[in-house]
Parts: sequence; C-alpha cells; structure tokens
Amino acid sequence: MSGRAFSRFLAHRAGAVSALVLIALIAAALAAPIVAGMMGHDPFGPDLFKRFAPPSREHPLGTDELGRDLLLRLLYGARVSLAVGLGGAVASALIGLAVGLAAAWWGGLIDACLMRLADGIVALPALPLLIVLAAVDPARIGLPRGALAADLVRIIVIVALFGWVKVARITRAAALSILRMDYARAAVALGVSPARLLARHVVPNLAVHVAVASTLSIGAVILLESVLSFLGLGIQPPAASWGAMLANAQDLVFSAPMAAVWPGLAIFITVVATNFAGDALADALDPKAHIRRG
Amino acid sequence: MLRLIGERLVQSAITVVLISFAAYGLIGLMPGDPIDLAIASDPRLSAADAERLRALHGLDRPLFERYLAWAASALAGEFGFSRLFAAPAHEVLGNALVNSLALLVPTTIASGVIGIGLGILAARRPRGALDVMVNAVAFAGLAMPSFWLAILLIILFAVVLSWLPAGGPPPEPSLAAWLRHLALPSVTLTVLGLAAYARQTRAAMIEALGEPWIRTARAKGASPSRVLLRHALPNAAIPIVTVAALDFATLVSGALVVETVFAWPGMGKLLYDAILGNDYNVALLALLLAALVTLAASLAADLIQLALDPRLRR
Repeated sequence: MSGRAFSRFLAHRAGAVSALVLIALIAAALAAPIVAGMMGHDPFGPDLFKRFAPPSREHPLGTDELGRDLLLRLLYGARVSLAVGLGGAVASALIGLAVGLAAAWWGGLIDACLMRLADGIVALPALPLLIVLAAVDPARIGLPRGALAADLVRIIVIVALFGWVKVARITRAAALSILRMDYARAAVALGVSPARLLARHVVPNLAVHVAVASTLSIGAVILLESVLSFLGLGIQPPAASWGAMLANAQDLVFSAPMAAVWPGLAIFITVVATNFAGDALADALDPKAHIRRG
Repeated sequence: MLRLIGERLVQSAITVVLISFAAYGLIGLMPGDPIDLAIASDPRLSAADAERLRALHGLDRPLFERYLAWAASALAGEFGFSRLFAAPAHEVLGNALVNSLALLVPTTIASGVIGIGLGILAARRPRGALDVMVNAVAFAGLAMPSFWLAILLIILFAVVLSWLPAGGPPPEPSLAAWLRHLALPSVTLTVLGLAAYARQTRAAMIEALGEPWIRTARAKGASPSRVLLRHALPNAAIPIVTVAALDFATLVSGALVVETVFAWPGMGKLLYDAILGNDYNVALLALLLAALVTLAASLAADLIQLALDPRLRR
C-alpha cells in the first residue's frame, strides 16, 4: 500500500478502528496458549467442580457446563474463526482467480462452460448442500477424521467450493478489459509467453479488485463456519469454536444465559470489523470505485 | 420471451438432474447406511446376513445404477418411506412445507415492507440522521449470526420475561398457540431479512434519485412524495425484486438455522434432521424441493424484471 492509499484507508474511520480491532483479535488468538499458561487453566479439560462458575478473578467470564474457562475458549475459538475466515477467503480467491483467468484467456466454449457453472452454483440452495457436504464422513473418501487441522481444511474446502464465483466473475471481467489494453497487446507483440503475460501484466493489475472482494468475503465465511459449527458439522469437540460454544449455550439458556452472549458477540464484532476493513480497503486501493458508488 | 423461458426451463431441468445425482452420491458418503444401523441395533446379525441384506436392497450395486433406480421411481411419484417419521416421504415433506410457509410468507412480507420502507426513507436524505440509523441496523443485521439473535430473543422473551415459549410446535391447533409459537422465529427472520432489503433499496433509490429525469420531475412541480414513489421507486424496483425472489428461495431451506434453534418443524429443520438422521428419502426429496424453489424463484425474478423494465424486452 502506498502512502496515499494508506492515508485513504485511515480516512475511513470505522475501517481504521476495525483494522485495530482485528489486529488485537489476531494477537489475542495467537497468544491463546500463553494466556492459558498464565491463567493456569486447561481450556479443553473438564472440571466438574466448577460448572457454571460466575465471573470471578480466576475466571473473568465464568465457566461453561463442563467447568472450562469461557474466556480461554473464546480465545481458542478466535483461532478457528480467523483461520477459517482467512483460509476460506484465500482459497476462494485462488480458485476464482484461476477460473476467471482461464475463462478470459481461452474464451469461447471454455468461457461459456465456466460461467454457466458459476451461474449454476449461485442458483443452488447453498446452505442445505453445505450441510450435506459437511456431513460427509471423511473416512469414506480416505481422509483422516477428527483432527482439528483436518476439520479446518475440510471446512475451508467446503467454503471454497461455493465461494469462488464472485472472484471468478471479477477476475474474468477485469482480465478481459486488461487484455484489450495497449500494454497487454504490446506484450503479446513482443512475443511474451501467455503465462508471463498473465502473471506479469494481467494479475498485478486486477489484484486490487480481488483483494477487496476477498476481504469483504471474510465476514461471510466466518458466519458460515459458525453456522456449521453451531449445527454440529464444523469443528468437533473438544476443540473450541464460537459456533459450537453457542450450540452448547443454547441448551443451557435457562441456567446460564450469559454463556450465550459472549461467543455471539465475538462473531458479531469480528464480522462487522472485517466488513468495515474491507470497505476501507476498497476506498484505499480503488478510490475510483468509491466515487462511482457515490 | 417464450424462447427465453423455454431456455431457462431446460437449463433448470438439467440443473435439477445434476443436483439430484450429486445429492444422491453425497448422501451415500455420509456415515452409517441403513444396514450399518440394522447391525448396530441387532447384535445377532452376522456378517453374512448383512451381505444378504445389502444384496436384497441393492446396496451392493454401483452408485449410478442405484441412482437410476431411485430416479425412475421418483419420476413415477414414488419417493419412498421416511425412516425417522415412519410415513411416506412426500407426506412428511408436505407437513413441513405447510409449517414453513406459515412462518415464511408473513416474514417475507414483513421484512420486505419494513426493509423497503426504511430504505426509501433513508435514501430521501443520504447521510442524514435517519440514513445513518438505517445503515447501522442493516449493517448489524447482515453481520449478526441468525442463531445468536434467536438465542438472545429466547433469553429475553422466554427466560427473563417468560412471555413467549422458547420454541417447538404449538401444542394445540388453536390460532393463539400458533401465533405465540411463531412470534419469536418470525421476529428473528424479519429482522435479519429486512437488513438486505433496506440496504438494497437505499442503494437503488439513491442511484435513481441522482438521475436527470428526477430533476425534471421536480422542475415540473411534482410533490416530493410523488417524485419518490412514482418516479424513483419503479426504477429502483428492479434490483429489489431480485433480492426479494432470491431471499424467499433461500429462506425455504435457509430458515434451517432459525427453525432448528426454535425447534419449528418446517422444511429447514426437516432437512437438517433427515441429513443427520440418515433419512435418505426425505433428505433427497427436501434437497430437490429446495433446488426447485430456488430455480423457480430466480426464473420468476427474471420474468418480473422483464415485466418491469421495457428496455429488457427488446
């Protein structure tokens, strides 16, 4: 980001604040094991003598139905949400970029097929299909079952299968217009190979649009992960995830209503922050789009 | 026009066939087929018995063959039996659909009317106090996990105030019971739904109000409300209609989360229960219906756009 772009980013006040919130959140998520060590609790092991402890010096937000510290579980949940959000957005962007470039470069039948595929995916009832996909037993297609890393990859893949369409459309439109520009035609005339043309001339010039769209999609991905985990199809216990914490809390609304407030608030703040940060990034990197949007 | 509809129908039919095949294949990949469940429930079943059962039900045949057999009976109107509800799959689905529509039709109307109204009011004076407020509500609605809003409403109205039931189907078929049990899920879906309407309406109205013919209308002396409702709104209606159609379609299956939280026995909850409970016949049928509704809604949106915008008809 150039200096001017950076100052445009800061001029979007909500975006700048959101960026700070996100940085703090990432730091807290990374520091989760250190915090756990300092507080001396195990966020995954049950302690049945301390179920539903109210907030105290020892447990700032209290404990859940198995006596596990809620604050620590929130921090570990942040790792999951942020990892899935970033991973899902990046994976979608990569697939979308590849599909968009292929459609723009080859055109014709390939373009038509890929874009009809994109239309078809948008027209699908996404949530039920995602649930079917998430319910597939990984062991039946030869994948490991149960490990946190495997769960994360599984959810990121599911998200990316549906998430690439927007980036693909943006990439295709931008690449088509770039390929008509004089500098791209000059590069072709100079005998540049297609791979180099795309990598050196096309991709850098459309990267901004892809970056903005991807940042704006992080929030949606985080929401999706929380839905899947809430339904019991995402991250599996004992690992912590905000959606799964809310699912537990729902069973206990009559005995421990506050346990349902914190994870939801965490999701809400994170999604709002990524949306604002995406807006600010759009202002910073693509000021003309902002003027067009009025 | 007719050709366009024909093309879209053919496309939709192909999509439905592809979805049904994909769903059939995926559901086969979920843990626990009926024979596994039979083995789990009856320890005397030997491995040889299991093999014989598999052969009897055709589960040892290749996937494609099994799919063709299912598709043939589905086309004949035979959708099989529900394992969870011990009733024909289409009957189970029919009841759920009625419950879903009772929830979704009022919700869609309410969120559309309120959302579009707020969007129009906000667009009247961009960056005014009302606009900032509407924007904040819309932004919050789009960033809020539906199940969280649902749980918060349960905590407030069912736990703290105990005015309304926390969920479940109405115990007796009286109107009052229905309304009490529908109240919280409807409010949840309305609040979340109106965010999208308000945002889309606001953006479309602001764009329409910036056009030169609005200035002309004002110069002619048209009243502000006439300019807003007769000149700007019809032009802003096109993107709003698209949102509405897609919104309703996603709701038919997408109210899944809210229906699950409130244990409302609609389509979404049925789909979820069927998928998790290995109720293949119901899950497949519900998925197909969801796909059909989505495709029909997007076709309807296109047709309404054609009706609204004479420029598209050329």
